[in-house]
Amino acid sequence: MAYLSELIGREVRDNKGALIGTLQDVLIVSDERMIYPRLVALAVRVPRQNVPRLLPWGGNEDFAGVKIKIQKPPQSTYAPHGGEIWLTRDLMDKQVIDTNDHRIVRVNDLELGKIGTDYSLINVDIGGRGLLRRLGMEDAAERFARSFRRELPSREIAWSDVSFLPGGNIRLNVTRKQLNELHPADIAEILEDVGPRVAAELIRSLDNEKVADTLEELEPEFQAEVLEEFSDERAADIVEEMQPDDAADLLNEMDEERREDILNLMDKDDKAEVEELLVHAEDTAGGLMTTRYVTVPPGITAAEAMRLLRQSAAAREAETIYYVYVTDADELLHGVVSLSDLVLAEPDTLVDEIMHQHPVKVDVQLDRGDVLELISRYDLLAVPVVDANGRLQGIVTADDALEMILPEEWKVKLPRLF
Amino acid sequence: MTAHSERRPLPLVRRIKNKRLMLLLGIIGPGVIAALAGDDAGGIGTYSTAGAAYGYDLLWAMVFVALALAIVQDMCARMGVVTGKGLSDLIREQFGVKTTAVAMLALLVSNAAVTVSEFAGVAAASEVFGISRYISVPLAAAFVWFIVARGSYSRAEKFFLALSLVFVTYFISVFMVKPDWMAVARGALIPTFRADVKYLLVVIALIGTTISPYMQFSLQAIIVDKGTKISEYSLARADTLFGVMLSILVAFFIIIATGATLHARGIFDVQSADQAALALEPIAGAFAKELFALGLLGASLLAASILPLTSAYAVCEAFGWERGLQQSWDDAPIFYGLYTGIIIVGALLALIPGVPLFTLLLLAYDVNGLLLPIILILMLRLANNKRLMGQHANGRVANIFAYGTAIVLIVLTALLLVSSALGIGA
Repeated sequence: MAYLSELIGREVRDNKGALIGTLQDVLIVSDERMIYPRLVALAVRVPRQNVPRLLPWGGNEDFAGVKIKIQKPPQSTYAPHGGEIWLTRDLMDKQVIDTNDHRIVRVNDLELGKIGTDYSLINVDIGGRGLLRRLGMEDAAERFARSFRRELPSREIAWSDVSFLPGGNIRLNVTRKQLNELHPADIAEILEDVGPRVAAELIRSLDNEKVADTLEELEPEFQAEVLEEFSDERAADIVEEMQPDDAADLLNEMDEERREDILNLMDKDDKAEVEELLVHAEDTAGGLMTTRYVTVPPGITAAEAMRLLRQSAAAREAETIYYVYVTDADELLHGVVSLSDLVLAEPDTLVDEIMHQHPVKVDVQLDRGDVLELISRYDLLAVPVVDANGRLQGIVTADDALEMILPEEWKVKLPRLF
Repeated sequence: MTAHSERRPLPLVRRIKNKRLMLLLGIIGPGVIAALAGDDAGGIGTYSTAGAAYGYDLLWAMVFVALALAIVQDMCARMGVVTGKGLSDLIREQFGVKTTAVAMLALLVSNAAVTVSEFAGVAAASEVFGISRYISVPLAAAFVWFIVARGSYSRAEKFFLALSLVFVTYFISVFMVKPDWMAVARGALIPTFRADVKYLLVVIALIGTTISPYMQFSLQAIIVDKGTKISEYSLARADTLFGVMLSILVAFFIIIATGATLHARGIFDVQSADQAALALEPIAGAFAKELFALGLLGASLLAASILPLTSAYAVCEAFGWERGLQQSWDDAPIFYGLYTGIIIVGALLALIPGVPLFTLLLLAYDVNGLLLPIILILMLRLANNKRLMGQHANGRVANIFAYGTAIVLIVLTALLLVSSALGIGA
C-alpha cells in the first residue's frame, strides 16, 4: 500500500542503481475487465528536461522504502497510447462522483495497492486525513488526536464507486455505464451538486427515458437550465418522455420562444396533452393535474371494464389506475370505481352499481392548497379535476400533491451559492 | 381519453416570460450585485474621508481603481464562463493542497475582518438613531444569519439593495451644490502625489475597499451557477463592466459631494456618521443624518450577508466539503459552522468597547491588502493557463494591465504594511 502524495518526488533509479530522476506522475490504465486500473508506467522528471521520461512498470518492483527501483534496463521507455490516466494531472485535487453515496467529492489522495504482482489504484481518499497528509501534518495530527484518545477520521471510497465528471481530460465510458445503473432519483441527487452545464454533460449520453425520469426529480427551474444545453430536437424527445404535468411545469420555466420551438418538434399527441396543461395557472388544480388517467363508459359490466383496461394503451401510460373514472361520451363524470372493487366484484355486475356516484372532485380553478386539503382529508390517492360543466379534465395524484408541499416548505428554491 | 378541444388564453398572472427581461434579470445581475456590494460600509467611510481630506485631488486614483477592478472582475467572469468552475475550485485543481490552504486561510481572515467593518457600519448607522450598538449589532447579526440560512435571501437582497439606493441621493446632492466642474475634471485626470503618509494610506484604502477578493469569488460562483455559456459571454461582460461603472460612479459622487461640502467648509477629518452625512445636507436638509444612516445600514447589511456566505462556500468548495444552503446542518456542518462563525466573530469584534470605527476599518483593509496580491497572482496564473482557458486565455494587453495592477497593489500593500507596522498615520 502506498499513497500517491508520498510517492511523488521520490528518487527513481534504474536496475543498475543509477539515478534517473524524481517521480512526477504515475500512469494507470483502466481496463473494462478489471475492477482496479493497473499501474503501467512512471513519469519521471529528468534534470534539465522539459518533458518527463516515461518508464514502463515491470511488475515486480516495490514502493517500499524511500527509493523506487525500476527492474528494466535503463534505455527502455513506455510508449503511451493516449488512454492512460495520469494520476496527478488528471485525478489529484479534482472532483469526482461518488456513485455509492450519490454526491460530488474531491480527491485528496490516491491509494495504490498490490493486487497479485501488479500495483493498482484501489482507493480514493476524500477525507481530512488525506488533506493533512498532503500538508505534511498527518503524523502530528494523529499524535494530537491520540492524546485525546481519538482516532483521526478517515474517509476513503473504493475506486469502483468512482465516476468521472465531464470536462476533464479523461474520456472513458465508465461514467455512462455507472450512471446508467443508478436510479433516476440518485442521479438527480448528483446533478444537484453540479451546475446546469456539467449536469447536462453528465446525462447527455443516457437514453431519453432515463433523462426524462431524472429531470422529473429536479426543480423545474433547474430542469429548464439543463435543457438549455440540449438542442431543440433532443429537448423535444426528452420532454415527450416526461409525464405531461411535469413537462408542462418544465416548459413553463422556459422563455416563450424556446417553449414554442420545443412544442413544435414534439409528437402531435404528446404536444396536445402538454399544451392542454399549459393553459392552467400553476397554483391551481389545473396546473397540478395530469391528463394520464383511465376511464370506462357507464353501463358495462366489471368484466368488460377489466377487459377494456387490459387492452387500453392509456392504462399503460396512466400515473395511476387504482381509480377508474366512469365518464360518458361528453366526458361528464358519472362516478369512480376503484380497481379493487372491479377485481372483487362478480364479473357480470354493472359498473354503475359498484361505483361511487358522488366522488370528491375539484374544479380546475381551485387553489392548490385546497386541493391538498381535500386529498388529505378524504385520504385519497388521486382526486378528479372537472371544468365548470362537470367534464373530467384530469386528475391530481397524491404524490404530485405531496411534492408540492414538501420541498417548498423548508427547501426554498435557491441557486447553489445564495 | 379523447383530447379536449377547449383552449383558454394564457392567464396574464403567469411569471414573466418576456425573453429580454429574463436575460436582463438572469445574466445581467451578478456583476452589478458583486460590484455594488463593494460600496459597503468601509467604502462609504473611505470615500467620505478621501473627499473631506483632499477634496477632488484623489479622483484620479478612482480612475485607476476602476480600470483595475474592471480587468479583475472581467477575468473572473471569463474564467467562470470558460471553465464552468468556481475560483477556489480552480485554485485547488491547479495548485494543490498547500497553496489552497494558504489562500483559503487568507481569504477567511480577510473576509472576517471586512465583516467586522460591516457590523461597525451597522453600529454607526444605528447610533444616529440613538440605538446602542450593543443592541443593534447582535440584532443585525441574528437577522443576517436567519435570513440567509432560512432561505429568504433573494428577497432580503432586494431589500438591502433598495436601502443602499439611498446613495443615489449623492448624485442629486452633487448637482445641487454645483461644484466647480473644472476642478473636478482636473482632479480626475491629473494625478497628484503628496509626500504625506495619510495621503498614501487613503489611496491604499481606496483600492483595498473597492477591490475585495470576496467580490471575485462571489461573481465567479454566480456565473458558474447560472451556467452562462461562451455565447453569452458578451452579455456577462457587459453586466460586469456595467456593475464596475456603477460602483465607481457612486464612489466618484461620494467623493465629489464630500469634497464640495465638508472639504469646502474646512472639515478635513471625518470622525463619525454624523459628519459624513453633511454631504447629503444640500438635498435632505435636517434629515441628512437619518438618510445617510439608512443607506449605510443597507450597504452594510448587503455586504454582511454576502461575505460570510461567500467565504464558507469558497473554503468548502476548495476542500470538497458538503456545501450550499440546500444541505441540512447535519450534512454540511463545516459549511454552516464557518458561516455562523464568521458572523459571530465579526459582530463580537465590532463590539469591543473603546475601539473606534476608523481603527477597525483600517485594520480590515490591512488584512485585505495582505490577501489581495496572493489571490491576484493566483488568478492571473489561472487566466493565463492555455490548457485551462484555451483561446480565451489572457491576451497581452490584458496581461500588461493586470500584472501592472498586481504589481502596483503589491508595492502599495508593502508600503501600507510597513507604515502601519511603524505606527505612522492612523
